[in-house]
Amino acid sequence: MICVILKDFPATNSIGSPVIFRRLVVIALVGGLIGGAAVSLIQWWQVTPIIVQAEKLESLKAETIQAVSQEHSEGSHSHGDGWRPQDGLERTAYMALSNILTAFGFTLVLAVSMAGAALKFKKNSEVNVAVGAMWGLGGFVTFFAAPSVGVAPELPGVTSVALELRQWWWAGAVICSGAGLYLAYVLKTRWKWGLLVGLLSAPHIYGAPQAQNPYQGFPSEVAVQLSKMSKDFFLVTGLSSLTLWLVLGIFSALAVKRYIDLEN
Amino acid sequence: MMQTQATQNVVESPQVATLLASKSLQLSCAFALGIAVLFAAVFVQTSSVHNAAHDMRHSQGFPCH
Repeated sequence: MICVILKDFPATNSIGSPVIFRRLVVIALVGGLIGGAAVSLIQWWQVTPIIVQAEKLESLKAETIQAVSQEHSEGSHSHGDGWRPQDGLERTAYMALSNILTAFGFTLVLAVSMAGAALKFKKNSEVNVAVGAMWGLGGFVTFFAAPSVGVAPELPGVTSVALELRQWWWAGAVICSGAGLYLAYVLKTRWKWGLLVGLLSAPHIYGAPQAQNPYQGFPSEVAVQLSKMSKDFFLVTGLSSLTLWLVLGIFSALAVKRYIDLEN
Repeated sequence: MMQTQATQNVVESPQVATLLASKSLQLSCAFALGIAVLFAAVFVQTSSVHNAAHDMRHSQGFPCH
């Protein structure tokens, strides 16, 4: 498919034409479709049933809170008042669409990082399937594993601290982990390993924002059930994310090697 | 007509050509586009965007609520 899309582009980087940019965007579009479709399938099969079940349990929390008190509203699950997709096909379609969009962004960042390492740090010979899988693992650690140690994937309805705090910490953890792994790969100095350990651990030493009791407001038997579901949820989201990143890593390596001029 | 010619001259000038062909600039622009798309998909809390991306955000482990 990518051959058909790219065949209209000039074979070489003609002067004055942003060929690399256009090719990277096309690579990301195809990567987004492949990766987004793969991860949507796994999520539809393994992850969505847990989300739907958690939303059913969430209604128990709402009733309890209304009956007992109105005060613990921070971090409660609100979908806002606006439009939302209908349950069923429409909801699944929007999940797939947003997965494709996210996979597009991931592929772009991944392919640029790969091409940058090849062009600026002489890693040209290392753009292949095995190294692509390694890049995929790096993406998984950066965007899922490292931030999840502090802010674990949350089920709808589970109470947490203010969203902005978690988003800032999450973004900081992603930037530190990604920068650490990238520098450890491209630099040749010995102290890069110290830099890697420092950057990977910095967000966790700073400390992720944590809720005191994530299951606040739920009846105790539901809290036990949600606690077990949270563990299953962590596992299946981790597996779906790992699959996505391996697909994107291998695909990006093959596409960058074939379509991006990596010679200076 | 003259304006079109002038624009063409600018686009074909060596400086602009070199700038457009600069690999670093193209990589930077592509990286920025990727980050912008990810920001919209992961962080934007506008009601309809949040509701559309809700299941994906939970499933990918992004902070959602």
